[in-house]
Amino acid sequence: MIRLTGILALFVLLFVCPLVVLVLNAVSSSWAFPEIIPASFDLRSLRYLAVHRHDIALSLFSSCLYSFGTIILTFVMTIMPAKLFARTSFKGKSLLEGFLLAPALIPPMAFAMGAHFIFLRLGIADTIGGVILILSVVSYPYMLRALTAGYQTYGENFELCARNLGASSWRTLLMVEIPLLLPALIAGATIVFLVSFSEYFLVFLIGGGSVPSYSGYIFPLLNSSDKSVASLLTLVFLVLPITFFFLIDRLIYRAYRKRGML
Amino acid sequence: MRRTQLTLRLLPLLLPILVVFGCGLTITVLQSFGLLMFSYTYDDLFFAYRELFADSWFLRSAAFSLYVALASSSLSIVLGTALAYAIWKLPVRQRHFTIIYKIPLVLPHIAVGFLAVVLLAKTGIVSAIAYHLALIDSFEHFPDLLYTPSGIDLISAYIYKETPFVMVMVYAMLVRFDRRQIDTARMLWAGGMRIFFSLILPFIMPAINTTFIILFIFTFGGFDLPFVLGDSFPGMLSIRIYDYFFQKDIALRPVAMAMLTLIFGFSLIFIAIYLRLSARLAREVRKL
Repeated sequence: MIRLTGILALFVLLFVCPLVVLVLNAVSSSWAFPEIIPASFDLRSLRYLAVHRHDIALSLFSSCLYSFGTIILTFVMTIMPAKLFARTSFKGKSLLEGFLLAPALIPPMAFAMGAHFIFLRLGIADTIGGVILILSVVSYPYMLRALTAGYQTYGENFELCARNLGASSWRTLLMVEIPLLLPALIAGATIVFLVSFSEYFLVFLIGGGSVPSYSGYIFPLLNSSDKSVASLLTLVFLVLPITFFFLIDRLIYRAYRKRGML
Repeated sequence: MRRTQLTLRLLPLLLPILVVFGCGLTITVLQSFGLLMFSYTYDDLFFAYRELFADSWFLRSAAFSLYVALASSSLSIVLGTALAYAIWKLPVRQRHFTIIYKIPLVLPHIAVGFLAVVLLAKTGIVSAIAYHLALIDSFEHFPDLLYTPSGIDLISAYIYKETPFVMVMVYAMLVRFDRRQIDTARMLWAGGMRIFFSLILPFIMPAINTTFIILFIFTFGGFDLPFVLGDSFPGMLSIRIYDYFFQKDIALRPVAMAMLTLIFGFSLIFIAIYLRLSARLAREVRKL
């Protein structure tokens, strides 16, 4: 128990205290040296939020849109290869798996700036489709790994059974494989969402200002002298994903309970 | 399975990678030689590379990026491994309390950079705490931590962001460790240090190696965090690349592409050397 308290105290100091600073900053009117707790509080940052709610909502919506778009595209990209890697062995498989991790190991800048040139030619630069495509190429390794691990946790008998009963491969995917893959899919989607939602540079490069993003919206504020507003908006980066995870977790739990799977 | 069927199933993945990653890299390399540069033509293929090495700023920026990447990745690895080991040693029922360590995983890099500014500024929170502990008399005595060649702001921000990542990776490896080995070691009178360095560490080394490669290259070529933490001299390479790509004359874009090409080449060489070294180390450990 003493050990647990010690570790927890260390974790709070390392990982939670910086957040407390953000919260205090968000509600303080000014935080002058050497106050450890700000001397006065006001709701200026909340008023800012109210005044600019349309811009903020638009940028948040756009960020969520391309982040969920990226989840869908990475799923489409990796579902068949994941099954292949989990269920079959073929010549050059490990080499191919290594090669497919390359985009995770090379700095994204190195290919994104060249890709921008191609996107211009294809006419998808400055579009949300282009943003989704570049984010997918950066984040698919997480989805691929999660889905491959998901397929490895159950045998192919479930699918064979469904096929034997006359289900098409499409129907088998929808009714058998995706429900069984759900935990792995959520694990992969969580990381893909976080990577896409947090990204600043790639969205800025490929979206070129015409695709609004939350990270692009708050960036100029981070360097402004008003730390209060910037702190409040930074907290949204934490609150929104955690709310999503919580909601999805509850939804899945209820769906499983309904079918008696838990 | 037939070859065509195999390819067909991999196609949804291979096609985007080929177009975006493969062609993207190719364009980067070509443009670094002044080819495919819209309407610009260059007499000298190596114009951009000559430009880079003509001045010392490029090498100084590269050295700074290398230093920040090495310092932050190795410190994150040490801290993350120690904390993951500490969690693993807890009784199973108590472990779920420690989930708060995942907070920095959710925070974007730009948010972590902002946090570093708030905490480390001369009149920031750390400075205020130091004042109350009577370590300094006024904020003027607090050392410059932001925007300096020491890179402390960048390194500490990266450590905050990357330590939980190391913990996730190392912990995932630790749960596969057979605890009975520890009981055996205890019976043979091995101490806590001995158990960690002779039993646990070799076991989790593969996870540490992969994580180190990922973190090192990510930090070396990372853009978001240095961009928030402002420009300093010599500054990270990624900021120099951004300057050449966006702000200077478009005719100078090959210089940005040349830096990216060198970063790409360096990443490949780094991965190759690191993997070879760690394989050799592992062999030598086994011989003992």
